[in-house]
Amino acid sequence: MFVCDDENQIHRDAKNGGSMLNRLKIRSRLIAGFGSIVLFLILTGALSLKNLDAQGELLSRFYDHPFTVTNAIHLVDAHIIRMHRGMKDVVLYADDRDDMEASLADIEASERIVYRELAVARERFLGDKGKIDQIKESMDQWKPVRARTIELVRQGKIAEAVAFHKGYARKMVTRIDTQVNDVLKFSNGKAESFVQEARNNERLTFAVTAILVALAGILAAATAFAITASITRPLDQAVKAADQLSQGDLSVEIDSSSPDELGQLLRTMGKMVQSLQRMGATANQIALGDLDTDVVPISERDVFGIAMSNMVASLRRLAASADRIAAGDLTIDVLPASSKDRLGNSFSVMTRNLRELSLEIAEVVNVLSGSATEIMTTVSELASSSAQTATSIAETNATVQEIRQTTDLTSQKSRQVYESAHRSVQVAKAGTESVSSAIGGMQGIDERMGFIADRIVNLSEQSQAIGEIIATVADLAEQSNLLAVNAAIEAAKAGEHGKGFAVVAQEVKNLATQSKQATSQVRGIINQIQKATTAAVLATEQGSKAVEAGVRQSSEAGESIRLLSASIEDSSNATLQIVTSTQEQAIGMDQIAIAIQSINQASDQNVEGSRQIEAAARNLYELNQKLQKLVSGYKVA
Amino acid sequence: MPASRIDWNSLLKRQEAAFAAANERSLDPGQEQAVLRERAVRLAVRPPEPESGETVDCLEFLLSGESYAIELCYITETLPLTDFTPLFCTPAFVLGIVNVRGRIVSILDLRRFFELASVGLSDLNRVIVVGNGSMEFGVLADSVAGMRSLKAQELLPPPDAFTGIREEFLAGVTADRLALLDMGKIMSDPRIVVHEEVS
Repeated sequence: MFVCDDENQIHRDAKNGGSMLNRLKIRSRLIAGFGSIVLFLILTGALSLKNLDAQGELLSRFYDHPFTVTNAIHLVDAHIIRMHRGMKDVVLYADDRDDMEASLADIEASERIVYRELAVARERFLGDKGKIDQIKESMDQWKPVRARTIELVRQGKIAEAVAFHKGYARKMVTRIDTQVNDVLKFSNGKAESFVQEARNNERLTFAVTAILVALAGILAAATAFAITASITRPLDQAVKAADQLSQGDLSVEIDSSSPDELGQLLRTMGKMVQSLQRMGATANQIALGDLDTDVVPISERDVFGIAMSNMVASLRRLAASADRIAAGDLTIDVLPASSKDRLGNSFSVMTRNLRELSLEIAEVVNVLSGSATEIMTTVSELASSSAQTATSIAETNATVQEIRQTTDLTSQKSRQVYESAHRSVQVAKAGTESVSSAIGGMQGIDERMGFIADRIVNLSEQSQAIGEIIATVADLAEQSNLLAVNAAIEAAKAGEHGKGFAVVAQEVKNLATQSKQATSQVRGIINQIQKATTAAVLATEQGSKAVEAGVRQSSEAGESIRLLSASIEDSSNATLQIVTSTQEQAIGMDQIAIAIQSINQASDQNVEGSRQIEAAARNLYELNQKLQKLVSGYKVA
Repeated sequence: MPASRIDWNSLLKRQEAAFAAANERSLDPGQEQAVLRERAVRLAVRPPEPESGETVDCLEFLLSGESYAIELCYITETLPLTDFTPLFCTPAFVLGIVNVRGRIVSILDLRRFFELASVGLSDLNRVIVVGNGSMEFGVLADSVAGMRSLKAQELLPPPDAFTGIREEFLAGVTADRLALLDMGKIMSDPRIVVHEEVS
């Protein structure tokens, strides 16, 4: 019943957009869904178990009754047949006592089994138990019959015994057999009915279990669908809203009355969106320049709100600074909030620049003021000088007449100059020729100088040879001196006879001494000669250099003469031009006279213009006064 | 153009004069005769009689700026010092030996023999060979001045500056600081004989 209810409810919930399901929390929703499935499964299992139990019971009953009874009756039947055959053996083999005794023992054993089985059958038999009692009774009746037969056999009355057995005993056995068959038939019928019952029961169980499994499947699918739907729909909404928010679109509307977690999430998002919208509106106001709004952070950890409020505060500060600047107060210093504060930095730079600018303007205005004054004085000077100009022009006119006369004179003079220049050119040409011949002569001198130097060096070498000879002569003199000494010694040894020889020796010695002195004199002279030759060589070298310089200077002179001739030619041409231009000058002078007339008129206009300039300068001065007033409106320090 | 400052004419004259002076004989015959005559007259003058008293003929020579003299009777000859061979194992005053026309003569450095403390510079280019018949050796000299006759009266005893061995071998000193060596004493002095065996 509960299962049915639960299922219906889920179906209804799914159809009504999960209004009731949504009232539950997701956890309870999940628990309810899965719980119902588990419950259903347990129920199905229990029912199946119960049916299995019934089936088992049926089987055990089937085993306990029809099957056991049939078995027992079959045993009874078999052992009765055995007993009957034993009796037959007894009758047939009456001669052999041992065989007979064995058959008798066999019969007794079978009889015991028959009674035992009968007792079992009686206990389990489901039909009329009287039938079993009848069998037992027949068995009891059969016993004396068998005893009579055995008696007859023992007495040796075998023919009688056979007759008895064939007649009475066979009837007994046939009766028992029919009774047994009767019971067996009943028992078999009973077993068949049991089988039928079990088959019915099985079919029922299968049907019930199949239905329950199908129901459980449907239930699980429905629950899963409903729960998934109830979770994904709000999630989709949240994702869509978050997507819009991430695009910066704050126009999302989030509405949820669901009490579950997703509902809470959506409501929180809604709050966030509202706060963002508020912030957006405030930012818009700020963007429009409205700084009167107060931004109150939602909490202490509202980074965005705090930042906005800081921004507003800093903007207000800047606005206040800007107000003061607007009022002309440039003394303020705007401190930037950080090194990256572009606005603050720009403001700071701007105020600084404005300060410098206004200072510069003040300076410029001062300069301008000075200039304006100067212009005014200059203009008045200009006016007076215009008047002077007018008188000067009259003087100029007179001067122009004088110049005209002078120009005629100039024309004559320049013609004379032209002729003399022409003669100068001829002279310069002659000069150039002489210079080049002088250069040739100089080069000849240079060659001679080289020759002289060579000769002098030769002489020096020869004097060197003389020096060597002189050295030899000195050596000879020395040796002669020594020889003279030796001769003197020898003479002294000769005593009185050697006296004359001693004189000669002395004379030789004197000669040697004189030659030695002469050689030293010659050596001195040679030294002087060598010095002189060195000086001469140096002198020739200097002479050669002087010649070189002379060549250079004469070529320079030649060049100068050439240039001179060229320039004289130029000046001759120029004088020719002067002649023509002085004629033009005469014409020009006439034109100047006319021009001076025009200048006179222009100077009159000048006087008028300077008056106008004076008025303009006054205006400039007044303008400057105003500028000064304006500039002084800016406080700088 | 100004004339050259060099007086070529005078230069040429000077040169000709110089050449003529070079080519002409040193003296013209007359002058030469005059010189010879003058010399003959000079020689013809009888030398003044030697004053009474003994005279000593000696050879004057220079050694380290000092003048010494040796009597002629001891002198054999004078030679230029061209080449000599130093001897080992001889006293410092033996400079070495020299070959004089086949004779081996040892050379004596008087400065070292006289044990002069500071030996001055010397040209050392003359050798005066002395001998007395028994022994012969050469005495080193810077240069030989020439013959000289000394009067016995001129000789003075050596001054105090001459001390030691030098004083011992001086015969006397003249007024112009010429020291006459007593050669006989030097030769007979046992110190001059070098006898040394080198194992």
